[in-house]
Amino acid sequence: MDLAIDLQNISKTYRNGVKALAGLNMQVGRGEIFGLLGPNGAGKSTLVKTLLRLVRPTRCEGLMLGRPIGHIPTLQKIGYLPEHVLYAKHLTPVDLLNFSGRLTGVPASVRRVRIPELLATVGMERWYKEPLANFSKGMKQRIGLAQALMNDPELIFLDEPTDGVDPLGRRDIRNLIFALRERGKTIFVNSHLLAELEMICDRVAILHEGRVVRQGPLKELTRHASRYEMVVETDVFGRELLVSLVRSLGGTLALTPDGQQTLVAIPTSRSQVVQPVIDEIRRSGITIVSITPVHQTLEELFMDTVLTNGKPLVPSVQPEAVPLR
Amino acid sequence: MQLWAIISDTYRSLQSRGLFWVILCISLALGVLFASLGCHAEGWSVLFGAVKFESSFLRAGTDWEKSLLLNTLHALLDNWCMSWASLLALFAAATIFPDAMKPGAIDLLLSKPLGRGKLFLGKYLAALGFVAVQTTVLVTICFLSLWWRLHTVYWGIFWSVGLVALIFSFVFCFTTLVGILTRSSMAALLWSVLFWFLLWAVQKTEFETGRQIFAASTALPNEEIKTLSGRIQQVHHLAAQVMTVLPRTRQTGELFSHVIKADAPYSFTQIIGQSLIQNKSMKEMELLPDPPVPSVRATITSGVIFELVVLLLAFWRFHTRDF
Repeated sequence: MDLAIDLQNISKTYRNGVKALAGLNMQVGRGEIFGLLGPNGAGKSTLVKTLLRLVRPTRCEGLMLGRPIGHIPTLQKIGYLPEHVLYAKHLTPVDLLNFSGRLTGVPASVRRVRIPELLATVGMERWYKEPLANFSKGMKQRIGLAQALMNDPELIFLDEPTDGVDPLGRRDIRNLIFALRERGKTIFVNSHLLAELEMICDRVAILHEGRVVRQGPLKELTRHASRYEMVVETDVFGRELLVSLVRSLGGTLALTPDGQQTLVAIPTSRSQVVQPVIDEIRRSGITIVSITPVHQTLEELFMDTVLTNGKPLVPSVQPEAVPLR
Repeated sequence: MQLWAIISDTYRSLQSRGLFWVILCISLALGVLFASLGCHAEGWSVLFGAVKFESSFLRAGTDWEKSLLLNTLHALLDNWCMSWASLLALFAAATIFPDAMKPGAIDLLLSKPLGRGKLFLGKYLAALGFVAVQTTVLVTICFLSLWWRLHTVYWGIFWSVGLVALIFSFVFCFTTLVGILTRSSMAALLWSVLFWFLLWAVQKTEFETGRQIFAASTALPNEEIKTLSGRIQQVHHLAAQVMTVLPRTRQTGELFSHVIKADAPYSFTQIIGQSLIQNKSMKEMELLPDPPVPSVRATITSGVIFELVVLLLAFWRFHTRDF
């Protein structure tokens, strides 16, 4: 894999002794949308700030776009949208983009063309003359996104990009992120909105206590805990049969919340594995109400990973279900 | 391009504050007031001849007219640009570093391919530029006015722009240090005003005690001065010691008055006339000669060294800080 970011053993211990990053390793491929997850205090912000040299690492070995971390000219190829972006009150969107362009060495002739394009891309062309101080949180995010793209970066860091943005705006930002990926850009997204990340990310990393406890393609990470869930109606005799059948496949049984039906979970993503079970159940006269293939969500993966601190996952069952005796 | 972008952005940020326009308006008003001051065949006038005063000596084309205008210019620069305008500018400029270091603002700046040194320098120069522009407005009006009134081009008065910026920088470097250490505009401002007051108090003490000691040593016929107590010498010595490490703002400011005095045949006191000085203590003060002062080079060098040391400290903290 051609890497945009290749981090080896990054550590950061603050002066007050807080260890924000503890020998972190992480790889981000070029042209992918990469999601960084982690509970509060896991070190997500410290990691991004270290890459952008806002924070000085205690130890840092790694490359970003083929150059050592902290190499100032490399930042010319990088765009960044901070989480709580703060603009000078006197600036208008055009002023901000101009300023951003001048700092990243974009020639005036290019700025003249790119600024209206970017404002249109983020849907802010109507407000180009308004002072940023009058903007809502969502509008500021859109402008922040535009300034991050001013230098046509190869690698874009987005910290909570959809924070404060309305649903339509979120969809627009998602589409923009996909469009950027189509153009070969690498997008590094740091967000608490797991559903949002799940929709856009190719790969994710989960940070916990300053370390990457899990990283890889999203589909691969969630596949391990995929399952088929069957809701069946049966009597006591049928239930005994089910217990022996399902347990032999490593599955679980539980009563549905209303206590009227039985929920059978078989840990597999392959439909062929489930077919003999279905045949056996039907042969026994048990009524199958529904069969649903269930994939683990990113939220479930995140919760399991954080709660087990990255140890192998136990297939999850419906937490609200009552265990079968 | 980057440095200029930082300077112009910071300058615009200062310009967007009301204080910028307040200082500019006062400077403009004072400039126009100065331009309205002039002499005619029977005396002198203000407000472009609207208010006239008769005088037997202060008339157009005389050395007295030249002295009046140059001394008034000096008073303007000394009492407005080098004191009140600089203090007001400090109120505005004290926010530069704390504001730039706020979370969300510093992220935008440092994530660009911009060295911390360049950012620091740009912000600092913008503050000095702010003061320089304000002074230039007033000085330019005065320059044109002198040209119009005296038919002489006084290019030398533009030195005052650099001088005012230099004096301001002696205090602003301290503001920068406190601003970076505390990230608080209020703390930076309060400590700076305190520092400025300290500079003024120590220099005043050094000057006044020095004048008395000097008068005693030149054996002036004043018995009271001759019997100086040892305490005055101690105080003078202490103040002089303190001033070896602090910038001499007072003496730096007086560099400009030397230029003016060289061109003005008479002082303000001479213009107003000895008859107006009724106060006995004022007469006695006039008897006291000024003590010798450090050379121009020594005055400026010590101030610049102080500024560089403080700026190095401030930059070191800015450079090593995590944001």
